Amino acid sequence: MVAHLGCIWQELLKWNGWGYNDSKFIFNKKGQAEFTGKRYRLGGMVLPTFKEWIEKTFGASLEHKTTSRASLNVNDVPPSIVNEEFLQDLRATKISYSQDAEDRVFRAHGHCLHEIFVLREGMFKRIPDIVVWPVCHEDVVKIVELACKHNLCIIPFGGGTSVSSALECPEEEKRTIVSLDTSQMNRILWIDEKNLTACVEAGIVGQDLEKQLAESGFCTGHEPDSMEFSSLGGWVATRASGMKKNIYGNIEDLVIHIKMVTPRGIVEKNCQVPRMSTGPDIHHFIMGSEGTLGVVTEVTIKIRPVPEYQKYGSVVFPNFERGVACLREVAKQRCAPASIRLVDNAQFQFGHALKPQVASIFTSFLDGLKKFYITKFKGFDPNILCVATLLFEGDREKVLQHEKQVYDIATKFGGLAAGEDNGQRGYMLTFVIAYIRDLGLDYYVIGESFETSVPWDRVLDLCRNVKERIVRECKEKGVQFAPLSTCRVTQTYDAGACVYFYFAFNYRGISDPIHVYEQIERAAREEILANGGSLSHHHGVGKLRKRWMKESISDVGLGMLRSVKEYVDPNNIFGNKNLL
Amino acid sequence: LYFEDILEERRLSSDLRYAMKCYTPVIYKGLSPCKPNAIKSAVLQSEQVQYVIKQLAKEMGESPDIIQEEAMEILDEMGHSMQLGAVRFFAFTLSKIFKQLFQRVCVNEEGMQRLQHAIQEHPVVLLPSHRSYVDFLMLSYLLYTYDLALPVIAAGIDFLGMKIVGELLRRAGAFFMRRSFGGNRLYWAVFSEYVKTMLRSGYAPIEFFLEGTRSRTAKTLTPKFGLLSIVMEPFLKREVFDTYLVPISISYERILEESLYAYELLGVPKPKESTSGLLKARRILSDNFGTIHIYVGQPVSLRTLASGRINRCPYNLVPRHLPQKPSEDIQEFVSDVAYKMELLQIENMVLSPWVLVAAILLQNLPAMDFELLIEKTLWLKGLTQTFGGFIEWPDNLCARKAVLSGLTLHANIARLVDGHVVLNDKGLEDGAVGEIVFKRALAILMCATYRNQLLNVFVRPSLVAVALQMTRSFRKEEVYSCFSFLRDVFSDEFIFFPGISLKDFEEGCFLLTKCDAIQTSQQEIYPTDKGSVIVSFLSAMFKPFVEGYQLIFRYLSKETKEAFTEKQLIPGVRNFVFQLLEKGNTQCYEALSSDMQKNALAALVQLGAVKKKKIVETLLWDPATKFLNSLAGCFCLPLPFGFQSFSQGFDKQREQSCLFLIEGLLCVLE
Repeated sequence: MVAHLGCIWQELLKWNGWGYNDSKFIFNKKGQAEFTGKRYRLGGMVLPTFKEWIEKTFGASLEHKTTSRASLNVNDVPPSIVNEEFLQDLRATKISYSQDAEDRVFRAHGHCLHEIFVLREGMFKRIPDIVVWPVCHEDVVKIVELACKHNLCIIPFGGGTSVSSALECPEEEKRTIVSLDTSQMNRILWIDEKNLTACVEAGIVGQDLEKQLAESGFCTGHEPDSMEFSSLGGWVATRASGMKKNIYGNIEDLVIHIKMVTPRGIVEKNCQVPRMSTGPDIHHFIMGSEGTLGVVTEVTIKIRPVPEYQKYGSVVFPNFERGVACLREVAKQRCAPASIRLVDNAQFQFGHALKPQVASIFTSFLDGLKKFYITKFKGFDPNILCVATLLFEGDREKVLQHEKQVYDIATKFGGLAAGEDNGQRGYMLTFVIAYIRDLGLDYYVIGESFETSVPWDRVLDLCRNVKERIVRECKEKGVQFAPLSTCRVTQTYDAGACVYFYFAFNYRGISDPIHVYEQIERAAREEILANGGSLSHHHGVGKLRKRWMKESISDVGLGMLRSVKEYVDPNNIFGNKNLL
Repeated sequence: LYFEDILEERRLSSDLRYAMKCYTPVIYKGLSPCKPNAIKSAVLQSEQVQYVIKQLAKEMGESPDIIQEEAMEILDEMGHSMQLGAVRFFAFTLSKIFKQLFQRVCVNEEGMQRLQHAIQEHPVVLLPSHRSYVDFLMLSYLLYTYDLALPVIAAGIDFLGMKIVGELLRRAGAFFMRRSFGGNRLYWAVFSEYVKTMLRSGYAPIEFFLEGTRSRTAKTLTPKFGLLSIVMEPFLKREVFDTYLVPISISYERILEESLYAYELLGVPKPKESTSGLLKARRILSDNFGTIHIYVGQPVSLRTLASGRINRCPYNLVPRHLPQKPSEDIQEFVSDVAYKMELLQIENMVLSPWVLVAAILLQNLPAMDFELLIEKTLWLKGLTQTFGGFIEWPDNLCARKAVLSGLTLHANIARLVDGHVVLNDKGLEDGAVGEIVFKRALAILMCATYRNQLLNVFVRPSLVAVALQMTRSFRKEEVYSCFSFLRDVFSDEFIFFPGISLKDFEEGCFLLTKCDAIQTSQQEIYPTDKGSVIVSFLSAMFKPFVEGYQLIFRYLSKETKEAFTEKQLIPGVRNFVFQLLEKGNTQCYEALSSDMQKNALAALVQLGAVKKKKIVETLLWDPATKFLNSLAGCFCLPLPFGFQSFSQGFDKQREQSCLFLIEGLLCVLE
């Protein structure tokens, strides 16, 4: 077997949870929560109020603990079935591959709750039989040719951060499943400073891309919450959206050119232009195709000079309604900062619980004073108020001007500026929240996030109804503790907003928590659709949300997508069964 | 089941203190408190109303300000201005009045508790049955007594004609709607937004009558859909998480307006609501009206009703504030909900022993042996309970006493003479024939008002019984086909859930089997020996309707040649029937009832035998004479062969051959 390159990255990451091995929430000897590692700002800090928040919110207790199995039990792993002729052909290409159990399991899942739960306590019924690591476009062409020749199933794998069951292998797939890991295709091929574009191999993960571009003074500005781990090709395949889309745009605005290898051949355009009128844009068949048509190998993406100045900010509103009204006004005036988010009261309290121990008496005194001012002097109810977090970017002068404009609008809606620190902590929460789920899993708390987009006039109704539906469904399904059911308006557009929900509950006393969880999530999705929300704003459909595709895009719409699939991949080589 | 008499406490303690009690009702959890006037201005400023104002301004070339002013006037005319003072005034005076009029006002305690929870959880819509003006006064009085939020009530605009009383009602929470405003878009927009605003904000429970008006016959009227579709809209558009619909059944042992209704049904017009009229009504205060039973039903979650039923996004593709005609799906859903609520009202309606007595008496005119009546009453009690009727038989009261107490309470209708019970026919012996017929009709219609309370409980098994007799066949298919035809013909007379003819038939058969009246096999239905008594009692119970409809059809086919208006029809039929009665050619006094006449006409329109035409603001009905002819014929004569093919459908192709067949049959039979 040819030695493979994939392990270095893989070894840094947890095999049964989110993110880096060295970064996780723990309870230290004093029983206080702490975040380990040095990778994040929160690393090594003690979070004095977090434990109490967990106990209060979920009714969880440190005494009731579940433990994941410590490592993968290789004997449970389904065997790798690969025919020898293919292996011979593959060896001839010199492309590295592996049939090792750990490598295969690592690529058999994304990060849906049920997938992590299976890793901790069970085993997948079907996983890839073999993992291949192409290092360039030509390697991919060869692999796809071999797959067609031997009638194999290819499932492309980027960063593995999917939350739509997109990476799960269809149980009934009888052919050999090849996991095509793009992680070794991670070079920036060229940077074109005149046109401000860069051609990048699709396997590069977000943080590497930004790091390497920054060396030349550029960035893409595309920052999905998963950007540490998710890949460029994955963004294209799922129609990803970034936190700072207000300045840089979503993936569909950023992409200039895509090269994709399909069973039918290579699809690409003849030039790299800002726009063209040549029938329906073929990029839109590719973006959101979720690995059903082929493998994206190279992408030309827009770049920008790294901004001179960044500033966080936050605003407190007396209630969620006023907050939403303010965001709507900001969107109307088209003056949204790089990012503007509005968290509801529950999420505000959640963020508050993650406040690290303060260093000095002076800071704690100031905090007390701030709290007094807002709740007593301004009369905000701490159980109703909500917070908007802001991120401004650009040259210093313009940022300050912009900041003033936004704060002026906020004031009209009863908002009070609440400092940079609160803002920054809000964004940090985004990166660490996935780690919190792993902590919860240790204490009988399961949870997940999901998202939607919705017209402005329905934002409030949708948020209220979906949260209420979750609470009710929990009660009906026998969940014994009130769930955490919280949302934030996380992106603003001219015509609507993107809303993000967190939902978690303590499952003690329930025999089949994952099934219950899935029923409730499904009910929540039904509620979203009934309230005029979309099936997904940026997570994609995968296999998790397939059942609603027909009503989302109509019969004919679905037929259009099917006919493209039929032409491009008549033998269903890309057989992950996503989307359609 | 436990009923509490709310008057008992009133008889023991001070009414004044009761009226001045500390009143802090439980309210909807999401309520942001606001004053009646704030609601009005919210309605006026709403996108919905503003949109219509702008549209109308554009279309009529008027300034929006003028239309806005018009909207304001509508709101002022319509809006309630609930004030605690007025509520307390009512609490005091109604205590006095109710104690005078009624022996007891009994309420199901658990229903009130359920309501209390419901009010806090979601917006609530109260849907009481409507038999009397007392209904809404009593309901508000009840909620006040139990410290629940007082409802705002949709009342007919005619109440505003009563000067002081109208304003008082307004302050007690009534809001007023015009009887018809179909064409007036501004009125519709303002009205519906007013109702929806109150509902969305959870301001107060909203109360209205599905039946639209007081049922003059004590028989549940087919539902009106307008207001119901308005209160359902906020949920369907997901502006609220859920809405509770609460069916409430109010039954009167003796209805305050009983004789007024009888006159009205016979064509003596109802007095216009006026304050002086109300004062004149004072003399009824000395009369006894027995017991009222109020059953507050289980709150029904609209969300639960809609789940899996409504195509989820009927409102997703249009801004929610635009006036939008509800899709067919939604209309059907609204109609189903309306029928479901009425059926729940019927199911929970408390029946008094007197109702049984009235039903038996009407089958045994002119006189009936008292002992036999008692025996029959007991028998009918059992049967009613088998059919799911909800009889409130005073504790351990023997049948004799129960019947006697009914006779005492209803001395104006029937009385005991020499061991026989007869209808109250004072002055019947002398006087012209016409007068005798009229007086007899009055007594029978009043008596029928009480029997009618049984009909919706009995209608399914009874129509099976009627069908058995009409078809004279045991073949299930034939009996069902006749049943289904009868159900169509009586679709405005009784309450049937739309579109479930077969289920109704099966239920009817099941109930008849349950009381051993029939036996069924895969293919056949046949009465048992014991069952013939039940079967003939049941079909006799519905005979007035079969005969009445037959008379009306005959009138329409023989006596009218051209199109007619409703105003012409009613007196026409009345005279026709009156003459037959005078000549002694029929005994069907109930065919004089304008209610039956209207229902029959509506059924004919639905069956396609009469067509509705609109010519310059007047509705005309155009009868298809030949068709009617056969309908009348078919309806009265047992038709052993032809029935099935006739009733299977009225599609055009078959119509002709059906007529042919039936005419042929008629000849043979003559």
